[in-house]
Amino acid sequence: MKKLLLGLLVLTLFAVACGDDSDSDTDASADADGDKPTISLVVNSWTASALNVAVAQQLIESELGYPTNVINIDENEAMFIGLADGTADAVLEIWPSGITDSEQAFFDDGSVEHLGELGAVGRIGWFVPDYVIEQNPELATWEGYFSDEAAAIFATAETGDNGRFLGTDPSYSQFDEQIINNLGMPFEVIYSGSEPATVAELDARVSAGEPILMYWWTPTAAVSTYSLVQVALPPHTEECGASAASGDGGVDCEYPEDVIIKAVSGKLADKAPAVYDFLAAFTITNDDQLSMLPPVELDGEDVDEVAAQWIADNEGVWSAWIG
Amino acid sequence: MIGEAISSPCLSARGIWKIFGNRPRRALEMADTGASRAEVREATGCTIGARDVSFDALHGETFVIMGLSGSGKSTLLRCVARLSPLSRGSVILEGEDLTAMTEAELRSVRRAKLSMVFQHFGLFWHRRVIDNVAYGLEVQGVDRKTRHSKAEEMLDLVGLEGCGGSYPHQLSGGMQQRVGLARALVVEPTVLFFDEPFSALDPLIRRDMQDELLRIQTGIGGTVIFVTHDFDEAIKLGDRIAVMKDGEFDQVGTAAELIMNPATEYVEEFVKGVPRVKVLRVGDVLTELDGPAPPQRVPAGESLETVLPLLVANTDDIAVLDDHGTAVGRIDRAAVTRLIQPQP
Amino acid sequence: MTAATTLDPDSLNATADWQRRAMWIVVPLALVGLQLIFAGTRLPEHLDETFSDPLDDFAGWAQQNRSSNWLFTVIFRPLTSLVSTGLETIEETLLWVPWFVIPIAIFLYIARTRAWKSAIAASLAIIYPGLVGLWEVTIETLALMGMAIVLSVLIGVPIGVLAAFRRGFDTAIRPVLDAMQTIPAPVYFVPMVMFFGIGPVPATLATVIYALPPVVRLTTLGIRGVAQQSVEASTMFGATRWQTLRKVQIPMALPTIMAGVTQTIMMALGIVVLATLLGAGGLGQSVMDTLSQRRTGRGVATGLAVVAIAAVLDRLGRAVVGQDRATAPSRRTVLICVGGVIGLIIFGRSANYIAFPEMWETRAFDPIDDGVKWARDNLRWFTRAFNDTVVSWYYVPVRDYLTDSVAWPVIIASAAALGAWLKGWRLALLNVCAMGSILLIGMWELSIDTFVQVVAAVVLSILLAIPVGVAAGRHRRVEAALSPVLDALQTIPSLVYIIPAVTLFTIGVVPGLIASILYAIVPGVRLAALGIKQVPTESVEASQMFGATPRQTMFGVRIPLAARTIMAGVNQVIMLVLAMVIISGLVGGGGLGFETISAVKNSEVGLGFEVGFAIVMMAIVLDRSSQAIADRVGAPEVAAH
Repeated sequence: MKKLLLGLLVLTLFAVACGDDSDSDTDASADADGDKPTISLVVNSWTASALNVAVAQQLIESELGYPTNVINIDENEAMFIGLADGTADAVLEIWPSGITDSEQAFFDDGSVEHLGELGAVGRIGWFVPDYVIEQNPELATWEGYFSDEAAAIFATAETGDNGRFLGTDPSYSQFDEQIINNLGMPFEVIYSGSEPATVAELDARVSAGEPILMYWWTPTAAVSTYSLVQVALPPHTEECGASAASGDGGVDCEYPEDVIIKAVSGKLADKAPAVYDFLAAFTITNDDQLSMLPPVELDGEDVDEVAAQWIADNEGVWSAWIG
Repeated sequence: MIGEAISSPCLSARGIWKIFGNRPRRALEMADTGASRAEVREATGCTIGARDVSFDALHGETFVIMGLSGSGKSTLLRCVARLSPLSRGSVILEGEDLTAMTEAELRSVRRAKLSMVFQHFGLFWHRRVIDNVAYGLEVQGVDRKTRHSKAEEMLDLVGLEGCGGSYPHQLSGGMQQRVGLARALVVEPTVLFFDEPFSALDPLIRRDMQDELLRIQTGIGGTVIFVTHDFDEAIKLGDRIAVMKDGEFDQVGTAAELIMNPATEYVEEFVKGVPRVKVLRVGDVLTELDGPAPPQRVPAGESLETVLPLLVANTDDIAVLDDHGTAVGRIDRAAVTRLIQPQP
Repeated sequence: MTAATTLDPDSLNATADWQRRAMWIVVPLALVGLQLIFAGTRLPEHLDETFSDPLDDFAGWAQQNRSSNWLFTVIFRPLTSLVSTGLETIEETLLWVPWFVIPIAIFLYIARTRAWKSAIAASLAIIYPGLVGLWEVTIETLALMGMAIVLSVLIGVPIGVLAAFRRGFDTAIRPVLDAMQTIPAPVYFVPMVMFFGIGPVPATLATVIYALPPVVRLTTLGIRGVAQQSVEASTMFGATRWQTLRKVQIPMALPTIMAGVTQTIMMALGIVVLATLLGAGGLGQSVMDTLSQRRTGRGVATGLAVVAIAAVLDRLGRAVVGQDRATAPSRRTVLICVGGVIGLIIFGRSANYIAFPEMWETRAFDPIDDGVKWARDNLRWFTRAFNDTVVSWYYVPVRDYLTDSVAWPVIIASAAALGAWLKGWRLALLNVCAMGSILLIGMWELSIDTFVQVVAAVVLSILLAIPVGVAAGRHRRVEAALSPVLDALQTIPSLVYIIPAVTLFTIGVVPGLIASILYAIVPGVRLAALGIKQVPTESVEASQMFGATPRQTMFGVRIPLAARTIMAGVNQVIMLVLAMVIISGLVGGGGLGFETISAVKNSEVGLGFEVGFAIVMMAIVLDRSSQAIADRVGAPEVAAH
């Protein structure tokens, strides 16, 4: 029996070895240039990130001829480690407001390279459904959130008399606890723990016409789907920004505008110069994202198909990226 | 049973001690000064499993160690078989001291000369019957073909023709122990240990197995050390029987010696229930000839039971003949009468 | 209890009784005293930084020296590429082989043991992921599982064997294994990233750590369980230790070892989704993707692919040891089958019929989405009310009472008193040490939060599990109907149903509770059923002969006799509820679970260690205490076998 199995194993290995030649005919796209290394792109947990990557990935494969794959990981130090050691080659959507000191160190020592702006500008903030503002116009700005009545609108069984502020995935940079404490609002932050949980809660509240106050950002499809309105917070100041960077707990203003950047592994320029140049030129704007997000987030369409459609519609845009 | 060889000792146990517990040295010291089992236990928490036991098992002899549970018989056997370390004493096999050997030396002696049959069979349930039987040869490095053909032979011998391809769990209990027996015999051991091999079997199957063993034993003629708690079994199989109690031998002797002259009350208890006419042989009750041999003659090996009708049918003396046909004595009617009277 | 006291001499008995009664007054008084003294004092957290700072420093050091230090260049880097090569080879081979060969090969391998039903079930199960368009990601996950299992066996079996022979080694590794099993896997994700980067490699190694204990334990158990006489028989034939190990002990222990491997598979599948935190990809990522698209139906479809893999690997595992139970197929048959498989491979490769055909519309499960929407709009009156009742009448008041009103020394002293009462001073001391250390590392309040949730989940799970288990134990049909449901509950990633639960119940502790209950009732039901089935028929018949009603027989005979096994189930329920603390943190459960997620997502080694430590301590206290309770209520073990 054992000999038989061994024989089978040897045979299979032999077959595998022989099969390699014929392989190139079958998967022409991936293996035609066998010596080109595989490019690994990081996809973070939000949809826009997946779309950016899908566009880049398809163009790198079809126009530059490099095989690609994606690594799904949160935007955190682990991602930077992956970039630094070359497991991952590029990330296309870094929100600067979330970069920590230890992450900045990777930029500083050159193991991860800043590759310019993506073209999209993000905005994190406090959001409520529009009907909340319609019923309580004072809730359009932070000044409306100091009263017990305002707290009662957003109160839940868990927060009791306080209003609930729905925080999100802990890997996203959040200063809401600081803002609430420093401004002295009768609110309590409850963390959903993950983005899908946040969206499920949002969906439930909006479908019932119930109020909800939450951490969210643009550009996203949910803003239009659920008619979310951003609540005005005290304007951003340098002092407040310094607090956010130093982590002294003194944040009491709105989130800064996030000019989204791209980053690549310090090894990419040597590994695949063509890809490096392509990614440096790669640009996606808010409008691009907003055109692609709804089909995916609302209609459940496949990310790759939506990205392919965008590529088909915008040849004039991306042909300029190919060196 | 094989005449000339039986005289020389094959396996000798010399002053075997086995102490269970955490302070064996202290327990030994105490026991040396004559402390009893209970006293040692009280003082050290140690149990004496075997206490200064010595015996010689002769070539071709079946030496039975008989005792009730807790008497230390299995402990003694496991010490002699070197399956468990002994606290003091030595075991000599054909002049070699098993207790002084390295692990490797002991292993080669085992491969060449020893084997064992276990109470719960100790079969390898994951191997087919044939591979169970061939195991001893396999560890010696015998090639597959040879060991399988030998194993087949042995299966035939124990009455398991054609069962080699089955797995042990597909066989009945009696057949499983036949596998155990075949496995032990296939390596042609000098000494065969039996640790209550038949006690887990039904009474009828047990009797079959005993007969089977006697049959095979006659053919192969190795030395057998046989442990049992069944006195009838001991009498049936044993050339000599050691009655064991509290880790010591009460008495060692042939069945007849035990029956005729029990050394202790303990031995007497066992002997009491034994149907003597079945067990005793003519040779056991003969008295010296005081004249010419009478015409009625019986061989010394005949059991008393078979000569009883002769004794009842006439009043003449009956002569007893040895193996060579020489008259060596006559049957003493008075002695026989005493023997067959109900015991007090 | 009573048995123990009646054994005592009378005089002693009286004193002991008197003392015991006095305790019922003294202990509560002492607790009230403590409360008065310590009310309002702050929590001491002296060791918080002592533990976490060095770990964070080490993490920083590792960060900076990743490219230069020999630890990385000589050990971690080569290990990473080794595992990575293994993973790629498995994955590429499985994708290289024409897809239809895989179900056929699985069928043949299991069919060799004549387990026809299970062979058919497994080959159909492996096709399922392909049908729902998940063939390639499933292969990716299978490769990861396969690699993790191979490594677990390669590492676990030798350790288990060693532990079987060396008592000291066994005692030494036991607590390590306990900890490995109770520390939530994400806690060691952070160091994994430090040492092995991101992607499937650290995910594989983390899976190995998580899944190793059952292999080690059951190997030890299996080797020890080999009949002494079989080992002695081997020794008597002059076999060397190695021969005995290889030819007798390991083969005879194989069924038990394989049971360990099967358990390992189940545990490994349990962290498929969590492993996406490491960028593991595969089915776990597909599950996460469906969640962020809020496609519950697709999520269920994907989750069922995990269940399918579990079923396949389980059947394959059984087939490894199943052969001696049946007549082995002849050499000729085997040759024909192997030849056939090779022929199919050649045929598939040359006909270029390799990838799984896209035949199934991936929206087949979308009606479930509509179901969730319907439930959201029509069941809210009930679900929301249920949620609010649990939160405002149980969770918030109890949590706040234990955190704000009761002083911490009172809680620790109560645990000590409970321990002393249940099992004596050892348990009391253990409880004090465990809870004291939670306090000192600054995890007290989070632990109380989690504790309150765990208690609720455990109580509800048991209340559900025991009646269901008893019914399953009494009626074969109920058991047969439940069995696949229980299997699925144990393997389906709970996020698949927990996110819709958020839609129905709202963010907070309740969805976490529901997930914990659904996951943890499984062993509760199984062991309750087992316990009832194990009750000797004679005892039941004896009761019936006295004219007892079925009810009397149930409560007077069956349940008391099954109590020990049922309590073992309760113990497992507690452990599984603790394992779900993390998942609960992903849907607003807060407490230690959220803190763990937060530590992992932000790569905070020190915090991760503290949370993990707190969870292990809580597990130890709950485990030992529930075992002590089991010893008290359980009937003496049935001796007859």
